[in-house]
Amino acid sequence: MHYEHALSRRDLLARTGAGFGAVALSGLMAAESRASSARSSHVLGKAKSVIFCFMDGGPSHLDTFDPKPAVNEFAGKPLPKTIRRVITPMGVGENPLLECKRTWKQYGESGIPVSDWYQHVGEHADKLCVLRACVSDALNHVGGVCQMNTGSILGGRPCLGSWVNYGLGSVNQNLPGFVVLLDSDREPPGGNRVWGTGFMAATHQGTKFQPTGTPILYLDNPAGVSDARQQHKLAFVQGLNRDHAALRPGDTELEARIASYELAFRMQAHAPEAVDLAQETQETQRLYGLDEKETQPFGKNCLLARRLVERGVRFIQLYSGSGSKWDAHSNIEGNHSKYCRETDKPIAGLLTDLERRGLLDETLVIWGGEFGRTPMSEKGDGRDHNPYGFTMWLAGGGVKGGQILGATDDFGMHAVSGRAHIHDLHATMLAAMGLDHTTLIYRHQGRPERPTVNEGSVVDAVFA
Amino acid sequence: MFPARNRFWRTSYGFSIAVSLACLLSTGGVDAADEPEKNQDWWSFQPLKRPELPAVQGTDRIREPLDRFVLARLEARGLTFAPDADKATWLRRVTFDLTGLPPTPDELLAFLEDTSPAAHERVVDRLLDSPRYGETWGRMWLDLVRFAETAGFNADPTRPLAYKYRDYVIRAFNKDMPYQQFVAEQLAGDEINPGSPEALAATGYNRMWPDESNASDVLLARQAALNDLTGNVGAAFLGISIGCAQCHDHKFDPLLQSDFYQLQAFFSGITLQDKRPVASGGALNKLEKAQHDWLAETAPLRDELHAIETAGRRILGEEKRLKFPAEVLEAIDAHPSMRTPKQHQLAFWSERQIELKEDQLHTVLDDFQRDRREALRKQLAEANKRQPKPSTETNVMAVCEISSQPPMTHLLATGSYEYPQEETPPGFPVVLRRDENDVPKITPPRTNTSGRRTALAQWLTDPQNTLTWRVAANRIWQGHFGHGIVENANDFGTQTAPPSHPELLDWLATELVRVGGSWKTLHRQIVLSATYRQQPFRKELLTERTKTEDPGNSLYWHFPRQRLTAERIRDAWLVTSGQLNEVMYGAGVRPELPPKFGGAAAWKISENPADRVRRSVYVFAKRNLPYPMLQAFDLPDMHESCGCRTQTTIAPQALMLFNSELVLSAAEQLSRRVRDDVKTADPQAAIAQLWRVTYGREPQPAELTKAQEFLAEQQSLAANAGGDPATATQSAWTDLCHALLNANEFLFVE
Repeated sequence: MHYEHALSRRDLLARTGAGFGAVALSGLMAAESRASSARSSHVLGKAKSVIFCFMDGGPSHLDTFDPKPAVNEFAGKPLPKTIRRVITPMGVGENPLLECKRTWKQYGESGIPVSDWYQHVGEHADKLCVLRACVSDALNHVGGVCQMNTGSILGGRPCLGSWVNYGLGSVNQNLPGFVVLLDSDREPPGGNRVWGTGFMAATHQGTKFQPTGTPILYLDNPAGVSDARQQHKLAFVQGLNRDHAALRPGDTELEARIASYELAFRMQAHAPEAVDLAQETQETQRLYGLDEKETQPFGKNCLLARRLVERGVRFIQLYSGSGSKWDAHSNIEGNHSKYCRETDKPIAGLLTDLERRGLLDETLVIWGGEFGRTPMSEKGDGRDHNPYGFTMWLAGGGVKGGQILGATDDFGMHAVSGRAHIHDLHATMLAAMGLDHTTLIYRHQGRPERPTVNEGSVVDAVFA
Repeated sequence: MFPARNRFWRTSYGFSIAVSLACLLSTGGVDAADEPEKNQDWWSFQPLKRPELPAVQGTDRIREPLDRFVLARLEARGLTFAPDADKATWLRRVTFDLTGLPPTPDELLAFLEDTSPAAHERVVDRLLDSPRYGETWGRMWLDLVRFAETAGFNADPTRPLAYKYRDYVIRAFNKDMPYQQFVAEQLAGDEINPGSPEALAATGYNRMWPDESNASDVLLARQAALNDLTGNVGAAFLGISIGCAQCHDHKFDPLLQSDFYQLQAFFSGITLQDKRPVASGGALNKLEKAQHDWLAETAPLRDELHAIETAGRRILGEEKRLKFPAEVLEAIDAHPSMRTPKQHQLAFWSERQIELKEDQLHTVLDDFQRDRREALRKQLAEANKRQPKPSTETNVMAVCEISSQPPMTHLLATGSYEYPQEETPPGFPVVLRRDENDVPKITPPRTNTSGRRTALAQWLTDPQNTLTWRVAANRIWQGHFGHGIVENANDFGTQTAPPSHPELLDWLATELVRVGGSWKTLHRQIVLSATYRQQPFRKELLTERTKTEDPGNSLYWHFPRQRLTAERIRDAWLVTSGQLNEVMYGAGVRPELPPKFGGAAAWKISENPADRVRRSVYVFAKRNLPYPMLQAFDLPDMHESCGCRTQTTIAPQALMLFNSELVLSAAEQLSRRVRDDVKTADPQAAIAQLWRVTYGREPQPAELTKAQEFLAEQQSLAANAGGDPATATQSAWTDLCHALLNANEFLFVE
């Protein structure tokens, strides 16, 4: 039981906001208390939102953003002995290398090479900061997806979107602060705990928008109940609750529950509008590839992400190939052709659209998967998992574009310089949002928990 | 080394100082001689002593000895107990508290009519005898051990017999099993009581870690499971965060990295049985003897077959085997009867990854091998007919040991199995040892088991253990009042504030020892106490004194209001609408999921509709798909021990209660039930019954009026929308009931 003195107004607002975004005031206060730090030696950015394009299953860096001529030179032969052997899930350590069949082009003033699989994204090369030496601890998908989201290969910790919402709050009181969009009815490995809060209060959990119909679970009236009945019933419940609370003054929990019903109904009014893509012009829809069958599903999600950013949603995660579909153990040509085609134009369209609306500077866009893939072949024409060195890129949100940071060895097997572990990536992403990962603390079972599990440091070179 | 390396800072020294110092220490930046003062005087490491009952002025308010501890603290601040709650309030409180369900109108009436002084005691006896008790208090224990019926990770495979552990817990609570036995059976039931199916089911405790079915790095998977188990033993039984000492000495508490691995060493010999046949005492011994003889008789046959098949498997599994290091391959290839304990463990994690289909094996054997294999298989099939089988078909998920020599545990640098350091035999955390002689007394009870876990259980349940009893007593208190005397029930270390009532905690802990570890005895004392019987908060209780002295009610000047837990909310709408199926035990049931929920991970709903309305403790505990209705109301996520649930108030809860078909349909059934109950067409009688069923009290006249007005208005709204009069009437009643199921008075207990 809590009294007026026991809980601050901020707590009340945060509880009430409930993953549905506390009011701006609480967001500001939370940012003030949790984010600012005189001790931080890093530049903290001013990005307001994140759009994380997650290629579920592990996209090949070797065939997209990290060209390796030596792989083709040695194609058909094993890795030279000078390259350290590693454990891979399918044990492909001694398999012959698989040729990369891509053609590469250097784009923009920066001349960043991008393969023909991502030619539309290539046009935005000068906006990209390509991190070529990313490292994960996970060999398998579930641990990899879990670590890319939560920092740990084991379940139980809050994911990055939860940390961002915990740290910054939401600026929209009618929508969730953390939204997840899938491109199929399969969930990523690990299921919905991938956007769960682990030990953190559920207030900060991600909300998966339904692909069709109303975006949020139970947003509609139950079948056969008219709006008038529903409204009147709500008024009656709130009346019961207010009479109940009047005898128990100052109880913030009871007040929060009354407020949560009001929020739920504001959401009912606002969420359908937020996801109504018909409000967009034909030109914009084409920009995201909504007019083509292949690009339509991911394109819709990209466009939806932009609309959510405009409405103040903090963290939007888009899964491409949801359910490990990028996992090309065989026939990487067929697999990656399909999924790159599905995502190339929509992501390029998103970058164009954010820029022309003046949103790119305050929106951090991330591309990547849970790991990359091996130079060694698997089953003749596929590639195995490679968490030892892979590529992700960042754009917008104060990131200095047109640069490549870090490098893998000549075969793209190991990160050899400018290594960025997932903890470093998370520290950097949080820094872009103005959050210092060392002071963003959530107390759990007596232990001060950080998003980066007491490791990681900001890759300062990412920022200008 | 006792107690040489005890590094410790009090919380008051400040977080940042402690961190930087701990970092310096762990990197060797400070010489051992310069270490900060060793702190062993933290309250929870002090010997457990029974405190004197304090003197109080308001002796007329005392009902139980424990009240003195609470009242003395209140009086010291010029406060006192609130008046007793009215009978209806107390009945709803105690019924939810002990059974997880609301009182029925009949129970309410009987209690109101019982004016004898023993009326309260009679209720408590009835509730403690109810099987519903174990279902609700057992659930608390399941939170602690991160109970689930699936393994988690990507595939999230079902553990088909995990439910037997859940059933064990429920039974143990219902029969008021002494806590020391409950602890010991979970840790070492196979050693202590090998003839008891229940004790073997209890060892499922050691199997509750999340696990990756296709873990590429088998040695890592094994280590992760042992680490998880070690951390859980610390949290659940001892209330210490020893999991934090896995990679380095604990940053805040006097727990050493070596303590972590010494604790782990108690478990290093366990072999993992997904399906262990069980039978009662004598029968099992006879069975094991007969099985032993049968195995000996058929050994040559089985060995030869194994050799042929292993050769075939090697060829076929070559690609799959590539990822395994030599140590794992040796374990796979070893004949099961020849495996060391560690090989058994490694085979557990690896064999399932290289399973072959029968027809594949034939393709790689030569003619001679194929013929010989066929012949041997025929003989074995004959022999199998004579194989001694348990008289019952009962199996459990369990652990056992196969040797008195478990594998050596090493301290692991940075927590990685790749960097083993010195050998660490079993031992108790240094700071918890009573003296230099407090070392495990390990005697193998039989030849094929080490006795290590038994020794751990003995130490944990020793009446002198400074933590076990305090931690358990605190959990009991927390279950009744919503928060513990120690705020963080899983961490009695320095990162948690000291107890609000230290003497009360120690008195309860020693009382739990004194009554032989009987939780029900403690429940009885608590729920019959004056502290518990107080009125909940009302504005008239708010005085200048209560406002200034204890605004947060940490001294208990009234009974604290609590939101119902996820299970209680669901069970309450099931029972009030007359749907609840009280069948106990068995594999998890699968109620309806929201439309399009969970994608490919969605479960197939239970075929029998009656199964979908079982109590929530029996809902399938799927790590990758926690039942959304429960998850929305803060069900723990089943990966880590949860000592106290978070409590959120979020808009999705409102949406779920207000818009889901399940709740609306419960409301409809509730509306039929209350009108049937009263056997009259008078709406006032049915409304009053609705109030009794949901709120556990009679309605006020003003409430009756409002409800009737609402019915009339809702009826005309429904009629306007085109419903016929009968349908409109039903809709109005459904809406009234639905409103009450959404109301705070229903969702909170006070």
